Amino acid sequence: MKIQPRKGGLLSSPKLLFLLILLVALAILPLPLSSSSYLIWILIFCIFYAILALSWDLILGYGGQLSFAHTGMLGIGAYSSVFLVNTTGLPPLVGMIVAGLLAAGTGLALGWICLRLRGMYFALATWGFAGVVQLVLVAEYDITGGMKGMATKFLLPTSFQITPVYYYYVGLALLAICVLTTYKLINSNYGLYLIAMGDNEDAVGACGVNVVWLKVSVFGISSFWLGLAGSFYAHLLGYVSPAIADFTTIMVMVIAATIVGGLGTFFGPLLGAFILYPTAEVIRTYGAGIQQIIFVLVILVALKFLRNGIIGLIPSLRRR
Amino acid sequence: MLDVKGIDVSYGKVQALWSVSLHLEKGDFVSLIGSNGAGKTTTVNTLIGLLRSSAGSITFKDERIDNLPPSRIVELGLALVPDVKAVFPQMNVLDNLLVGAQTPRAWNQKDATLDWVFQLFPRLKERKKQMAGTMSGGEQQMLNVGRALMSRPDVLMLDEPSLGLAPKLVASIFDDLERIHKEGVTILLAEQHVFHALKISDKGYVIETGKVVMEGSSQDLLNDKRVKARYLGQ
Repeated sequence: MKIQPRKGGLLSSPKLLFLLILLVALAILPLPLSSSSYLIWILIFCIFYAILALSWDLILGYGGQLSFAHTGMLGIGAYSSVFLVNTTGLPPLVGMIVAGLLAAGTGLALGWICLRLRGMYFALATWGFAGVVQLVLVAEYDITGGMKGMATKFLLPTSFQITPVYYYYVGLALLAICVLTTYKLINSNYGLYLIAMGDNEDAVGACGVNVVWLKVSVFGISSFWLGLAGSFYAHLLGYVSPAIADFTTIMVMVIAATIVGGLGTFFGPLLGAFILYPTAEVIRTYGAGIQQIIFVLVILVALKFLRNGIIGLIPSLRRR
Repeated sequence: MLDVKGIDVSYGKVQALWSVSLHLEKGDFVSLIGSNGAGKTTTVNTLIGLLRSSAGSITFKDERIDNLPPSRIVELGLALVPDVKAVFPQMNVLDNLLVGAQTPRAWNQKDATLDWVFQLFPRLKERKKQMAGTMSGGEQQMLNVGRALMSRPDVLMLDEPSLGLAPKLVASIFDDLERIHKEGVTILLAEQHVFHALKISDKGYVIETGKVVMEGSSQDLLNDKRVKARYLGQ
């Protein structure tokens, strides 16, 4: 399948304009906040979750495949990058790219193995995968350091450590690349088949679209971003632990952000991440575990009353 | 053009087709008739590559296709119109049609093909931007046929295009098929509206519990005593 753009030029679309405005707004956002590094840190994590949510939306909202492999891919990305950087001394940036490719490879392989499974069974298999990854990270403490994790190099040199603003811009660059390539992908014939697969898998197969390839490749693409994000996270903190692969914190946040923002919409997951992560920060002060309970309730309420998420309230942005 | 020789198809341990053979020449209009569960859908799904045969051979344009994936088969020029609920409900009519033009060959000439499909089905042109799921059953069926035509097929297979449609719409879908046939498309129509199907086709195969039990010119089949007794209630 050759990937070709469809429907006019990209710049002709009002959505792309909105997207660029959004990115510029995010770029100047830290300026008034630069005195508070706490707020900048929150924004960095918003960006991290925005990448996660967008890649989840790509699989589920567009492709119709319910996958819980996210945390597993994050774990693989983060740890592989840390291993590479710690053993070879290569710069973390190289680690990030390798982590992305390795996660993509894992995604392709997992997608290939799980091909015959559909719906809930596919979801369970991916969930199992994520669980196994986390177990391995905890149990193989000779290699992974177990629960105490491993220290690693920071992404940026020491002179840039004084303020998190630099990390914010690295994250924003990642988000921009992720968002723009995803946008371009969705607005190609590939995106068309992906949406069609999400709508009716059998019919798209009968049209002669290679469903196998479509499923495997979208899994690989999404995993690439997860590997990259996982590695970014590790070198942002200079430390990695099995918490990166924790389902109850990370996956619940991803699901909530995507569904509250708007599943199957382009801007929904981005918006969701920027609303829900700060909310989680506030809730956290009231005690551990409350966040998950509240988020699960929020997911249920959104599914019942806000089927298209917050973005669904703005008609011109709702359509994918 | 399309030659099916003695194919067996099973779902797990349950065998659904026993040594089914069909033959289509270029320009033919062939109907495959039979009641519910006779094996019509299994046959067309096997031809398009969604199911695999365990014996026999399928040859299309002098090429064995029984081990090819659907994407390759469609590229070669075979297309299937699946059952009535097979549109993409959350996509508009235009996007639905474009999915049908997925092979490189079809994608390159998609604009010309779109004009052709819109000329065949003016209603689809009117509803270009409408969500497919909000259209009536008849319109969805038009869309199904139009989408299959977007792949520029030499042979168009239809799986019960009349399923779930009002009698008036059934007649109009069959009119559409005749027009498409006149445009030079070879047609294989799987139908349980036996009378209608035989009326518009040149040749027919009768399939019962997974076996072809009768074949011949549609005219002969229409006059056949067994066909009359079993399917036409005469």
